[in-house]
Amino acid sequence: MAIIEVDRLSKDYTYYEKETGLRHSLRNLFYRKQLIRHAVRDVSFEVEEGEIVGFLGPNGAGKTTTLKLLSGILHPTSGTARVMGFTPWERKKEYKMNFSIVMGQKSQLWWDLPANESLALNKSIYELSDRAFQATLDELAELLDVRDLLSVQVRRLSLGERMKIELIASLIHRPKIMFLDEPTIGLDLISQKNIRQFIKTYSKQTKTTILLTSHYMADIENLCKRSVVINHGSIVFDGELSKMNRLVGDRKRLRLQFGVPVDEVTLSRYGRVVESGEGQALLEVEKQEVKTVLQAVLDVLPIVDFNVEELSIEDGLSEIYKKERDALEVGGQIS
Amino acid sequence: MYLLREMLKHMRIYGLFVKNCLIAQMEYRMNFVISIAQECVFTFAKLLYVILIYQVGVDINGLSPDHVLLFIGTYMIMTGFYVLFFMDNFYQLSQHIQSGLLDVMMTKPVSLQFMVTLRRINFSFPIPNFIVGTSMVVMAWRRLGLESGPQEIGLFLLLIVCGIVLMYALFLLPMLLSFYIIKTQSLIEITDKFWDFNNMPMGIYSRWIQRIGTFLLPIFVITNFPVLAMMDELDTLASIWVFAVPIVMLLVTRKVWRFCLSKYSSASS
Amino acid sequence: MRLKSAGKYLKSYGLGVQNAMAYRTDFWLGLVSGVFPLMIQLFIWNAVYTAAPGSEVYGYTHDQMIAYTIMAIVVGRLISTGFEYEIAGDIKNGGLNKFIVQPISYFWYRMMCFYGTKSIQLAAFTLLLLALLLGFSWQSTLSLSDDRIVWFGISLLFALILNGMIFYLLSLLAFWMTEVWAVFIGFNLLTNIMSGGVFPLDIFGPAVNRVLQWLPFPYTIYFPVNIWSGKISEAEIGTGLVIQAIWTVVAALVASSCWRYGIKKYVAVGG
Repeated sequence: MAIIEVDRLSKDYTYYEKETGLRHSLRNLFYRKQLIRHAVRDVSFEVEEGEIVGFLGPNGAGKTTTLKLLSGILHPTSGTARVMGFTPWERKKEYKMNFSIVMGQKSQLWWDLPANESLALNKSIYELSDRAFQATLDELAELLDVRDLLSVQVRRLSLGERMKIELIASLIHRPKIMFLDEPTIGLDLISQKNIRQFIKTYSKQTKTTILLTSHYMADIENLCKRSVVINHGSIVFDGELSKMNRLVGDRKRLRLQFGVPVDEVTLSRYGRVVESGEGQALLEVEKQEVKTVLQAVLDVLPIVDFNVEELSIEDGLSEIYKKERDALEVGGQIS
Repeated sequence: MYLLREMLKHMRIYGLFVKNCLIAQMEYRMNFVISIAQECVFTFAKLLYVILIYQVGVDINGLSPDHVLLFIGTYMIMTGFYVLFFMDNFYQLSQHIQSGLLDVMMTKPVSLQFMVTLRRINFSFPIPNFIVGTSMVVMAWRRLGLESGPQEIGLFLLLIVCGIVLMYALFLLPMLLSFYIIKTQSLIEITDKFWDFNNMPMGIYSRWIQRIGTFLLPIFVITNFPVLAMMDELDTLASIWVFAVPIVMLLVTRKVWRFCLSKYSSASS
Repeated sequence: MRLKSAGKYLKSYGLGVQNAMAYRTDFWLGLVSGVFPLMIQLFIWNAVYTAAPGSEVYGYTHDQMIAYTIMAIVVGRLISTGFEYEIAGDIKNGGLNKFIVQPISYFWYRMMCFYGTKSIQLAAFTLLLLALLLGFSWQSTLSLSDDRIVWFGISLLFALILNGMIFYLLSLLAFWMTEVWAVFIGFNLLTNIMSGGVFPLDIFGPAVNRVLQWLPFPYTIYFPVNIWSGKISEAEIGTGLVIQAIWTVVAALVASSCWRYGIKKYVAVGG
């Protein structure tokens, strides 16, 4: 049985139209136009125990809202979710004892105190025995290499160091499920890598189920076998990231270099022009046509050099987003 | 059994709050000293009323200056408890909502209201209030020749405790508007000024204000009733009310808290 | 301030006006929260005058005391500053840099901004007052003569300028102290008490009063309000106005030399 089951979950919220200017603000005193935003709509998925699932999507797509729904911070407008057999927004104590959420920019640590004290507080909150607490703390501190930082005032720590402590604080009760919302946001590359490495090792050792959102493709590519792509509140892709490009059609890109500049109109006869100029161009073509197109351009155009490339996952993603936007413009709504 | 265990757990956590706040405030000793100095000025402002009453030297509405001293002293002690236990928490409520700390705390297996509204204890502000307030009460008590057996003092302290509970419930209530408005500065100022009605015994106000302050917005119960009890001037109704109203208010505040929170959970994103 | 550069200070004044418009709810809420202490004090005085055998307390008749209580709270509001927090912020966060670079005097920028804010509040208050005078014929109960109102207006303007100067001077403390917030709050209340903003200074007794008269504070609230209440004789008004002016100049001189030391330190540290 899946540890997380989400069925047609939706979350709407209302907000008011804001117009600038004195006249509008006066009018707003009496009448405000109410608008509805579908932050999450009809989202369904399941997660098995021990899985790491990444949530991808542009800003405001509904990733964080989904995590907040699953942590019980928000109530959905409709739909159901069962996590470890609990309905999250009932906020049962037994549920809270067994999961944790880390929100990248929201700290649960006491700013003016050494990290130790915040951890000790969590020990009481999660009703841990001295021995269990000490064992987990030792293990995590070892893994994250922060043994000497525990007695330093939190406000003196760097962002990366603070995130490590934040992770310890939220893993100290050994949750079965962990929600990570942008755990690497704002960190430098090395810190990002360290955090990533830790999450990888930890999940392998403990079989903790992890749901993760991130802006950084590297986080998702590295950690998650499976990703869920959300856009405008709906799931547009759910599966192995490497297979995502099939969704936008199996395509390849030809990078061409010319001896003499070639104009775009000529190029567009052979495929979709992604970029062109300065005596070079990038063409996108169907996989099965690569050979024929290549032969044709080699015959006709003044090619100096060429290269066949795979679509990167970012390219695939922006294709998905674009496709949807087009559909939205044409059909007015996405399915 | 479950309830008892939960209560012990929350008490243990409260102990950690106390410890953490103490460490944090000792970290910035200069701030601590300046805060005490600042609160001394506020205490002095409250003392002005005492100076005035003794300078004029007449009984007002049947209360001698010594009686007034007892009322103002109690008011000062209660102010001390307010700034000790509640003030920082109530002021920071809107900040917690905005920064998302509320979200984080919502996922903890502890009472959320407890976590959010009792997390901070301020040790510097209460010091002048307690010192000056207690001296005033002791002085007035002596000069009025009130009984000072364990029974009287016990009752007085019990009523103080009731006052603290009532104060929590009553002053948390307006701050729950933090869920709806962003700038709470004016709100804080108005509630603070409202509290100052206790700077004088309720006896000097008109009948209507007395009724409102006893039954509708029961601030007079907090500082006036303990003193009235010592002066043997609480009738039966008031004697019941003084114990009932903290419980009633606590239930009301709890209800409103729940309402605001469910509103928050379904209206935000 | 040369004539040519007057334009930018006029602009600062305009900024202050805009600010007052933007935060008008704060101003009115502030007046509302002033109603509570007013009520408390009115009840106290009513009780005192009922109990006191004579008709005068500290030389005030009942009506004079009521007038004092109301006007002290209003004047206290009208002259209050609030820019000290912004100045301290500028000093702490490096906001001063742009003023060091640009050919604009920080002092005049702040002051003109302050006067801009206050002119709107004064205008609102004057309208309110006119309405009250016409509606309730207050004037007759206080037997307030027309030239007293004029003198009150002048002394209020002087008080405004003096108080602005005092708090400008205070705000410069931020050059030397990191945690000035608490100091500002404490000083605000303390000077309000010493200015007679809570009770007339007479309650402190003659000895304390004699000391207080040597400080600038009584000239910000106690003096203008007592012109209104009629406790100050016509002859004393002139002297009071001169003392207000002298204190303003003294505060300005001290402030300008403090500024010079402070800015040296600021530049040396590198903002």
